Amino acid sequence: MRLIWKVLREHISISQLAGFVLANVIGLSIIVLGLQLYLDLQPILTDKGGFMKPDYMVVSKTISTAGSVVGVKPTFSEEEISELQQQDFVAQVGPFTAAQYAVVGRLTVERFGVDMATDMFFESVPEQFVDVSSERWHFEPGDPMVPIIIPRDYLNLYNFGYAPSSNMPTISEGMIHKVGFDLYLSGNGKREQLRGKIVGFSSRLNTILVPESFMAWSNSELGTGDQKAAPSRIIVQVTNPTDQRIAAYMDEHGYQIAGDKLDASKVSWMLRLLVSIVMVIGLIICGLACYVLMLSIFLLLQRNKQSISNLIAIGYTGRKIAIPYQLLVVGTNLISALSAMLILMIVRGVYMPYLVLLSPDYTAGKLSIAWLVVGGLWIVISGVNGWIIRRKIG
Amino acid sequence: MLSKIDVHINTPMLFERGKSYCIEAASGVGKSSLLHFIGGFRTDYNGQILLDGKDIKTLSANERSRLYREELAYLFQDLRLFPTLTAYENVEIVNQQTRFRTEQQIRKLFARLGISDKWDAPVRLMSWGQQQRVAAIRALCQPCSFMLLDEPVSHLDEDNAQILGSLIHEEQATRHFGIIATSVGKPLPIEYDQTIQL
Repeated sequence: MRLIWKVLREHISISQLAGFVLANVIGLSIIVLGLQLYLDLQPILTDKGGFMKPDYMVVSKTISTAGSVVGVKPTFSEEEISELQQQDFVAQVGPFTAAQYAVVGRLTVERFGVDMATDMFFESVPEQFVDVSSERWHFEPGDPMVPIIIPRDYLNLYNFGYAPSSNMPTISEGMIHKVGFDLYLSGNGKREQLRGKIVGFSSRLNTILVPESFMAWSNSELGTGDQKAAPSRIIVQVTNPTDQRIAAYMDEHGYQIAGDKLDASKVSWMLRLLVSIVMVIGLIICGLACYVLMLSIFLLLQRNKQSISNLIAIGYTGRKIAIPYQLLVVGTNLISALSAMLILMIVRGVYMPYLVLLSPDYTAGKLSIAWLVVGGLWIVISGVNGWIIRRKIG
Repeated sequence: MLSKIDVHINTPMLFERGKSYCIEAASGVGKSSLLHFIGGFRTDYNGQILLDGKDIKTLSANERSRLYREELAYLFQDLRLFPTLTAYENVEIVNQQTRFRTEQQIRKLFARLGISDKWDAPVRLMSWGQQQRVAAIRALCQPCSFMLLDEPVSHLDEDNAQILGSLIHEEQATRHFGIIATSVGKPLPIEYDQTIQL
């Protein structure tokens, strides 16, 4: 092999090989960097600890002007809920049940001369969707106390909006838990007076929430309409909030999602698109680099045509003659692949601290996939190169 | 082992293993072409060349490689040495395929032909006559049934031509290969069973 290599290495252009390695390193680096960046960002988009963690979405129907005039109710039929439930990206669906009676809340603190009342409304959702765990979140008919959960935003609105501008004291969550108030429920010709107490604050549900058991009892006692009224809002737990099909499905069916819950899906879609574009660019560069390598090898074979012909004349097979050139491309591609991985590890070392800052519970994507991809590309590129060389030598 | 070569191009010719043939003709008549046809290096002829009855044109690439490695030893008119290799390496690149000769035997051949001092010299720096001797040693360092020699002494002086003739004759006596040598008035000095005029 040493002597064959000594014969065939003549006319090898180091500058051409270096040019190929450089171009191939750039192409491979772009591919593995794009891939690794995607893998490293994916946990932030999907993990519960990430900044885009909503796996619960409150869905309602878009209210159109025409619908408002005609009086079309924006409610979900059983078929619509069932269809939504059957989507791959949906884990479970729960309807919001609205109170079918009037509610007035009254707060009286005689010592301070406080006596104020306001109209209210209640809604309930199945227990598994409630994001507040409290021992007091429980109601049975006959209980004098109704536990209530209000949106955390309400408290923030008061503490950071209303209170400073009105010289009112701020209120902590602990203080609110201690305050009770009267509830006056009326409907269907009946009246009920109960005590209400705020037992928790929800970041997920933007409504005044009561237990399902209370809602069932109160609607049966005081309800004025159909006991099984179609819900106008539903809460959906999705399997993966970055699933691009969520946004597409909601748009297609004219549903809207409260807040910015679809952002993860959109960001993920954009990320995948960008990564795909970057990886295609990387593949094109790699392809061009390999084309240049093959042209260099063809030129080398042409220049060494006489030597190859002489080797065949003294009994060497095409397979043996091809081996040195095949080892050359395998080695050159290996250098490119390892260089690309080295660049990946250096660049990753630079951006990883920033990703950790974005999410304290962040777990990085696996580097093994990049190794697999770069190893696979090395095998495929070297295999194709080797096969072309073998065919060219004949 | 290849025992006979039938050439059916214009005039039929039969070459048998163990015998010596001299093909004589003026320059440009086709001596080298005939050897290239027999070796399968060229196929631009009408007719057939049969190696033990098998048309050389039908041989696969691997069969052809085996033919060049084990059946036909070729001393080309243009020598076909590798200019980047030394004299010894040019011989060894053939010998390493079959390990037909030991290094000691090769050194003896170099000594017989008077180029021992060129053992490590790159062939590109040697005279044509010296290169012709290296090419002859290379042909002697492979097993064969036929030795095809294209004007093997064209650039050798009388003494070296005699030495090469003796060497090839000795080898033929022990290995019983056939010799097909071409000449343009200066044949390899050995006894021929047949001289063919083209």
